[in-house]
Amino acid sequence: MKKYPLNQVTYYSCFRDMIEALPQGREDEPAISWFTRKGEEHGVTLGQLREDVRNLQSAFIHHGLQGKQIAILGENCYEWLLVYFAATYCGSIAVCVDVEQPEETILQMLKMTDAAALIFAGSLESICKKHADDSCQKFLLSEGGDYPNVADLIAEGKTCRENGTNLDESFAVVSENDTAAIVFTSGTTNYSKPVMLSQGAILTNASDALANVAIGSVAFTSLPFYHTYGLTCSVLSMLIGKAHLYINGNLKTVMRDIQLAKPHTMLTVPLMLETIHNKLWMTAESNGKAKDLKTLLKLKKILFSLGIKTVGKTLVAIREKCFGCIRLIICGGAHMDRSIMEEFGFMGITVLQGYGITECAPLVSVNRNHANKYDSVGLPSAHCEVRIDDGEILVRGKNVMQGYYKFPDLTEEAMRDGWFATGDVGYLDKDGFLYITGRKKNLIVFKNGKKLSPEKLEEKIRQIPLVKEVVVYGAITGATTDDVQVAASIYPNKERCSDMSSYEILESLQAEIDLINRDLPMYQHIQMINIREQEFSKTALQKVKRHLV
Amino acid sequence: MEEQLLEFVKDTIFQVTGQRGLDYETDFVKDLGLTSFDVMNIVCIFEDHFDVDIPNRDVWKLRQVKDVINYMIQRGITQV
Repeated sequence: MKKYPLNQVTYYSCFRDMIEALPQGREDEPAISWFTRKGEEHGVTLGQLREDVRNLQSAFIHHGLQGKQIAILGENCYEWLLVYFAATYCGSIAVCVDVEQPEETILQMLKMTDAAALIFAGSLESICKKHADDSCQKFLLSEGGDYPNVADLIAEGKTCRENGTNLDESFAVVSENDTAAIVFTSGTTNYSKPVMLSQGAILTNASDALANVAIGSVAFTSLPFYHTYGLTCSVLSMLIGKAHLYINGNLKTVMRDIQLAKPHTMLTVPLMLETIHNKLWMTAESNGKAKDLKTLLKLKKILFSLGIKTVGKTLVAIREKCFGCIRLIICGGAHMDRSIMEEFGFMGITVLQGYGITECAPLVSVNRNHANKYDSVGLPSAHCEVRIDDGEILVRGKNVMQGYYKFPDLTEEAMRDGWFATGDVGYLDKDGFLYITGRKKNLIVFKNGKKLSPEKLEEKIRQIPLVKEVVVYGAITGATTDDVQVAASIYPNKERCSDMSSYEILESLQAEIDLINRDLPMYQHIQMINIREQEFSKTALQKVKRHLV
Repeated sequence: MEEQLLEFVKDTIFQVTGQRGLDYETDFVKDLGLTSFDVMNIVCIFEDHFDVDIPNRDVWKLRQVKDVINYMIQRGITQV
């Protein structure tokens, strides 16, 4: 197996060490910036960030919250991060709540994690008021509501520090094995499970990401912080990697903020890349340049295959118009189409696909800047072992969770002889690159014992221009669950079929599916097509909720 | 007022998606095939134009053109 040398990176065992060390010699350098709704830039330096965290953690101690669960409810903002850092700094546990969940689920999450305090955005105040635990303290992330806010707590903490209160508690030892966060799985399971991650697991994983990927000096993220991908990879890794991080918490302004921030590195999910890609082609079509662009990209493909990797003036101009300064995109959360990554590559933008799972803090593997295989999710990270057991990807290492909070049975079920069973199916190639071929529970199992990963067929069907989204599943046709036919539920691309009747759409899709079937073994033939009226329901990371299909 | 708002919504959707021919009953996802990302971009234009903040949890409830118009009226929008 080939050896790929890792980038040099600093590792931290606890959040306090990281927060204290980051500003050393760089106090006045920008740490985190963001844009207001009106486009005004705000930000904090590394020195300010450390000072805010020190004060806020002091307030947490003053309020008796040290070692207890502090739930954070809100979309991405600086205060969200401050609460997370202050909680983990003083040895409390940050409970990261997915605010896209329905009200009942949010209340259930708060109850099941025994939160001693809720710190929430104003838009979630009405839900948090319904949390029926009188002993639970409540605060707002920012001003404008019935409760004190994070700024008030910072001021309070500052006074405590100046008066020398809480000094002993402030220096209490926090070890790498202490739980730092409880994060809910965003998987396609029927319900969310609270995953406990240690200080060491999260921080080691954040540094591991950097050991694999060299980032630029300005980074941008709009990934939700309440998921591990957003927090560990897009915030912690970027800060440890000394990048100036621009954060966005509002899908409404993502495109604007990318233009304003001018990042080199962006972390995102396939939906956003597909959206940018679609817009690029729509613009080219409306300018009558689509044909020329297609020819140019074909030519680039040939030149790249011959090792001639210059981008050229035309593609540089398109890149700058569509992507600004972005040169590196790290994409995770779902499978990304190879063809889009290739096109971006021809324009001089590297797209690195990675793979993670909440229970692994989350990064398991990621491609490298100069060792990038588009179909693969990359090389396992440094402190993470990967092995394949009967097709399933198993993970062992420092990044693996401590367990599901108060669900020992589920924890036991998820572990296999010290390895975490991901439920994902894949393989490692001779160079050690990991490939995902499906999810174990999504496998379509045929009566003849053969199995099929629906994702494989979905990728083929997605190439049909009339298809916007597709889910392939095994439609039960007989008495047993293994007696199935492959079915495809398709949400058509309305823009491309606005002049067509439903019958014409179905007829056209059937003709394309027949062509796909020609190359498949008989048992894998797609035998049923359902046209959907609405796009598929998705999780916050834009994964289709398959169980709802 | 409702008609003025309808015209404004129509113009905005045309600006973002290039689609015309909408009425009160048009469904953003079902009829226009918009993604959550497209809907957010449309809402962004409303926010800028009317100088209001539409929380994301409210955006999920705006499924049809008429929902947007009713929402705007409820928020006290009286002038386009």
